[in-house]
Amino acid sequence: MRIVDPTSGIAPSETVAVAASSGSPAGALCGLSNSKPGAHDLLEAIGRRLADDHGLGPHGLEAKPSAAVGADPALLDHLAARYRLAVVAIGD
Amino acid sequence: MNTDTLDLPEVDDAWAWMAACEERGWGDGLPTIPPTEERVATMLAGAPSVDLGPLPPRGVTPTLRSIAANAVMAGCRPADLPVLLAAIAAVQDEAYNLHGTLATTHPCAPMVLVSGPVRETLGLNSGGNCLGPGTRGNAVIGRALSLVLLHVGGARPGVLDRSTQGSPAKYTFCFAEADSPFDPLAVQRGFAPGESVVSVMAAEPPHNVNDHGSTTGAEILLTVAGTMAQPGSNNVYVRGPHLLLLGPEHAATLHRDGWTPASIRAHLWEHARIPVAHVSEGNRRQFVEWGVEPDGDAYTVSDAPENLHLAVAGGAGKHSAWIPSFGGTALVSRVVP
Repeated sequence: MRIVDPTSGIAPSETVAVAASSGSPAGALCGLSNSKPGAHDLLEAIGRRLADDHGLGPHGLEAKPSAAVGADPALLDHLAARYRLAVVAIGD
Repeated sequence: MNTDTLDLPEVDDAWAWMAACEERGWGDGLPTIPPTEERVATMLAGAPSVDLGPLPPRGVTPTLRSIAANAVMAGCRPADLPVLLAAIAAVQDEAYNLHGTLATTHPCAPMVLVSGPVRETLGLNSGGNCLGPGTRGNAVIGRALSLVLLHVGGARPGVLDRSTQGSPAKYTFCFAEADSPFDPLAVQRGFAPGESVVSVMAAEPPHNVNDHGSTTGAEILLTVAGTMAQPGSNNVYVRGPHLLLLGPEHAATLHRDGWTPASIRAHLWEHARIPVAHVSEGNRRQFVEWGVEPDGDAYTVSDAPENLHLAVAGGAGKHSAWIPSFGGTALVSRVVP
């Protein structure tokens, strides 16, 4: 049976990888808050644990401007350029 | 052969097709119709052209063929396709905030309200049980929109659709507005009488307003205001649009007493207030973070009277509905192509 794929469409144009700048400290870690209550506290605690237990850091903390909208591409590019790894809070 | 086609093993019954969909993560859990090339071609015969952008969160731009495939799966007739296309174009308006409304933990669904002559052409229900089952057009147009957002947009429940509980409205949420003593919603929004228009909003399921006892418009609005004044709504602090869907009997009483959409809006803005004492201290702190302070000893239900939209639908009986929204969205209207 030949069907039309209901998931098909025009794929997004190829994304461009943003390399972390050479000035970024190796292992620089970021928490990206979804701006829900408690997200900052949760991410700060995770950052401390990662630093204490695994030596990961320094730890930065960024946030979406509002919990009601997706992260702006410019913010994601900024994180990609500045940090090696981001932990994203997606729950409440 | 098109690159958007798939060759699947022949399925000899409906259950086998359901299982094939389930394996691929397709569908909403209800039976669908296989979108064969022949059925998709039939769906597209005479279809209008539309300019559509990428659908979040996946970022894939739907084609007319992929939209038609989802329309076939949902059970649409070819005549339903222009309304579906208008609805897709409307949810792609930046003000609708499609990404946020699909990925949120809130239970919002894409509500589709149809105005104008296309209601009769498609036999859409604006009368009794118009928000429930029983009418093919209502059921399949709303469902097809949800399937497009699921399949092309990638808003799969539990993966990129992060809704805490979801809602039945996510299956389908489409209805027509009824003729009424007031201007139709589309005309209130500046469209010409006689134009067929689709209006969308990322909405909660309807909240019933039962008022069998009131005999005046002012009394009915007291009940409506009380229904709207609830502290658990997104509109309280995220703000944004909400819809008052008056049943025709309530609408007739309000019209008889001289009320208009503008005066109803103004009255409810003043009287639908949430006492501060009904909001927890923790929530008050969160509201402040969103820039929302009480007006005196109560909170307003949104940020401006104009954010309350008003339409009439339903059959006999003294019920209306208040439909709050995700908040961070807009009610967006598009002419049916």
